[in-house]
Amino acid sequence: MASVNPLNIALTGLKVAQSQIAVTSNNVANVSTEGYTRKTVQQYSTVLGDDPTGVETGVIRRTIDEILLRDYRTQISSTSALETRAKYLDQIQDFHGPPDSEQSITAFMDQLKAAFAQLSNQPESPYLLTAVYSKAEQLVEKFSGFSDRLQEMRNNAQSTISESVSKINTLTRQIADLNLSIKVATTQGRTTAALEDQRDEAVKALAQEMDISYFKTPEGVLVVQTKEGQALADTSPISVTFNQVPVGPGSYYPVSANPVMLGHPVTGINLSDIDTLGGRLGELIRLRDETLPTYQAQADELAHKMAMRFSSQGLDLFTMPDGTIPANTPTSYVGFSTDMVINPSITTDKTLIRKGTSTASTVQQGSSELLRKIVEFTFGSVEYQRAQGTVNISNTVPTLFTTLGITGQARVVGTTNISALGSLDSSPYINPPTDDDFTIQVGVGAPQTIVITAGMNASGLVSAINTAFPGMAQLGSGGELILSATDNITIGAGTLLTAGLSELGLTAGVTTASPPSFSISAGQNTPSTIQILSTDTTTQLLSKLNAVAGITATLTVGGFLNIEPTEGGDLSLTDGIGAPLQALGVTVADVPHASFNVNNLGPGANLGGEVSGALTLQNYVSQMVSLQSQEANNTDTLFTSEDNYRAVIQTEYMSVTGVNVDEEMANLINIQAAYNAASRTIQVANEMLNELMNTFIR
Amino acid sequence: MPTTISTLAQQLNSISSVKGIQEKMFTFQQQISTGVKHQTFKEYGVDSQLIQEYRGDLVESQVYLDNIDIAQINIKQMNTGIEETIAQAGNVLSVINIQIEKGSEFDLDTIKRTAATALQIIQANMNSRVGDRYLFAGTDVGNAPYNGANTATANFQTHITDWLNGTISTATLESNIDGMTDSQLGYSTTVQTAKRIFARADDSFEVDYTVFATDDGFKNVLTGLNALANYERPAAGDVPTDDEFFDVLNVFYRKIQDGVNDLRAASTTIASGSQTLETVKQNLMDDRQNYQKLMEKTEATDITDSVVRFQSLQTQLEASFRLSSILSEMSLARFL
Repeated sequence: MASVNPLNIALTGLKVAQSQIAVTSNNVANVSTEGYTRKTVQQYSTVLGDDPTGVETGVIRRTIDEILLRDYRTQISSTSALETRAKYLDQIQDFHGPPDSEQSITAFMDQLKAAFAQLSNQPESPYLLTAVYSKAEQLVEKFSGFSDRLQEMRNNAQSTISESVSKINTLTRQIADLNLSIKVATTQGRTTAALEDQRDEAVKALAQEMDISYFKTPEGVLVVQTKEGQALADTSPISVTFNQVPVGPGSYYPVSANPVMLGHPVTGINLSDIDTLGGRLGELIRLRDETLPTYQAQADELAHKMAMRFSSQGLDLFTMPDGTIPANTPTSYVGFSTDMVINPSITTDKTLIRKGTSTASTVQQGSSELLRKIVEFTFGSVEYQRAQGTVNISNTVPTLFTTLGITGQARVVGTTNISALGSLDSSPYINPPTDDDFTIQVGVGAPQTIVITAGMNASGLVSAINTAFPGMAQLGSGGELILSATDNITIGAGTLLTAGLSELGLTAGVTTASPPSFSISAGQNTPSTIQILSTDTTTQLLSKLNAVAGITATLTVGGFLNIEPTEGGDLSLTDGIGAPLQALGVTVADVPHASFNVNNLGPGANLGGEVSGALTLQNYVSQMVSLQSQEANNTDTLFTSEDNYRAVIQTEYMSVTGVNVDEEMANLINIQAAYNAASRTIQVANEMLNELMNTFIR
Repeated sequence: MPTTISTLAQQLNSISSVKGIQEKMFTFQQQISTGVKHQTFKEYGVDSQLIQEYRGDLVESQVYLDNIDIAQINIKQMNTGIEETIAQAGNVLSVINIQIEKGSEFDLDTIKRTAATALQIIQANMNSRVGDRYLFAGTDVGNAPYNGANTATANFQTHITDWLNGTISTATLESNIDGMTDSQLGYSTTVQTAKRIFARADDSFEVDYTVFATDDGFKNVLTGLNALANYERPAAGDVPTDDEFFDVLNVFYRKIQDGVNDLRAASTTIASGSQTLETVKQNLMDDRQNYQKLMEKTEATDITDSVVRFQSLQTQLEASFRLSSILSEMSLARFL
């Protein structure tokens, strides 16, 4: 017994060494296999009673770190989501093109404005007219191209959602099958290391599709769930369904875009409602239902406000195919950037770009009136200028003269420098106390006699007149006598006779008072003079104002005069005789365009446009492109950071779980040494046995 | 940190670092070859809005500079027309002066011939064009503002004949000629409703450089010359006296003189407009330079910096390759 026992013990050593070599060689063979974890064979010393009987191999075990593995899977989910998002947002960047290629919507908008600015300088140029049309057409194509790109991306996202769902189902089935196999093997005490490797790979692939959580049962079953805890697989999978239907600008979740369901396709759990779904699937849903519709809403908002701002100046350049512009309610213009065309009337008659689409008035070839409004107002922040009064002149008041306290004005300007005369009686025709007076009458009042006394000079005469009619007389800069009154001025020659009066630069007769007036014009129009007669009421004033080309006058609720250009643009008002505008309290103010809507956008009126504070079209479009670019940039930055972290965790995880060839080689040397030693033991035992046998034979 | 690193992790790390260097090198290579920092808006981050605005400003300022150039060409051409008209009118006035100085040898035919010649030149001047644009037609740029020379001649001849035969007095002749309508003077009907023209020099600034052929300057010269070209000295049997003849001649003379003064005023006005445009042009050119500088500051790459960085990365990449090679050789398996 004593000689056989060492042989058996050595034999067990050889067997264990062979097992270890097998595991090591498998480790070395899989050194470059991703997901392969390093395996080790446990060995146990065996004894029988008090006697050692050798060594025995245990189960093959994996070397893993569960905490690192969990972090790694979470990070995979996170980077997968960001990578998906970055890829999609890069397509938007591709659309906007390199900045120096001038391919962005902003560049096209700039070019359209520039074309209008050129045409307004040479309105007659058929070439520039065609250039404006062409630039407008290109802008329309750019808008529809952007919208088409967004819809294409949304539908691509849906196709990828289908792929993702299909992949999730494959993976959960695979995990469930592996769980079952592991459970059985565990029960039977067999090694599960290889199966667990396969399952880990499936779970890792699943983590790419969505953020998951999991736990392991004592039987080795890995229960995989969504991050929120909805079960995906244990020993049987729970299927995920998605019914893909094409989406357009008006499609939105949950009304016209389908959800991703877990379990029953109708009554199951709606994964689309889970904000923290994560992974590729979560990001695809976010892109389809939130990001890309927001971009669509921004494009629609810009297209609509652009159409409105052109229309407000009398040019319906951008319309729906039927020539209309949708109402300014966000849900009314969903998809307008796709449907928008050049107004068919303009396509038929391009000269409407110069003439406008809203009036039939004749516009000469060289008129830049509309074009200047497009440059200054459509592309500016102001829609038009408004003149508004602060005095109530409602139709119930009597005449405007009484309400406003305005009057007409008669003005007599002498033709002689009477200051230069010194003493007025130096004239041969002025001889106090005989040839020394003349009369002044205002309106139907009593005539007053003005007497020139001996030695009276020009200032004395002014004082004498102002004594009779306070404030009427003054001397002009050339020493001429100026008489002003609110009614007709009648001058009588008196004893001065015509010749004496002529010495004062005056002529006998009536100077009719002019009614209060002001001038008004819209844009480049020639100013019109509005006279307010003593009998005029508010109705007459409004009527006179509304007769001016391009002007619309109304009364506000408070009875204040409100004057606006009929089709946008600027107003010009200049007060005249009697300062009626001042009496009306009229001031001119800029009226901004209808602002860009930032909330309640999209078909579901549930999106925010994100572009805020923009006043002009160019401001909006550059902000829009910039925001989309910054979002792509932020995503890239985040992805780089998260991916770097993933790489760090991956390295750490692989360092723990992966195979190091050098380590395996070192182990191999140890195994080889053990094997050699065991072999030597057998050899020694054999030699001893031979010696013993030879002794007996001799 | 783990005590051992798996061979695969080592390889992946090595690949990742080489890839990272190569990506950076590609960026620098692009910067060197294109001269700009980035190829997409996203890479400019918050500056992406600025570069769009600078680019828009550059496009617009160039358009306004072109507009100003075009307007200045028009104004120059208009000034040439006005100056030539003033010269022609001055020539006629000189001829009148010379003939009056001759006393008894006064020759109306010389004046008439000179006036007729000048008239033709002035009519052509009023219809001056640059390209298809009639310069003195306001917004009616497509139509010749003066198209009724024969009508005008006939109207003047009627007035003169009526005066000579006593149908109208000298005062009436003067007032009739003074009160001739634009249509009677031969102006097109469309120019009479034309509006003013402007040079667009900025987003919110335009310069009016209108001179109508129907403005007092051209109109007075046209009236005076037309009257002179059709003037007749009363012959025996005609009603007006020789004094009245010279009175009327004097009225025509003054008419032309007034026209010349008005044209000089118009010329000064558009010259002032041109000067304003020149000032705006200088400002636009300065603005353009600023936009260009700002854009370059934001977009342009520093080639020297990029080349140095590229070379540094090249060294780094070579070192990485060498290291990878050394690491792969430093294997126990190989040693054994």
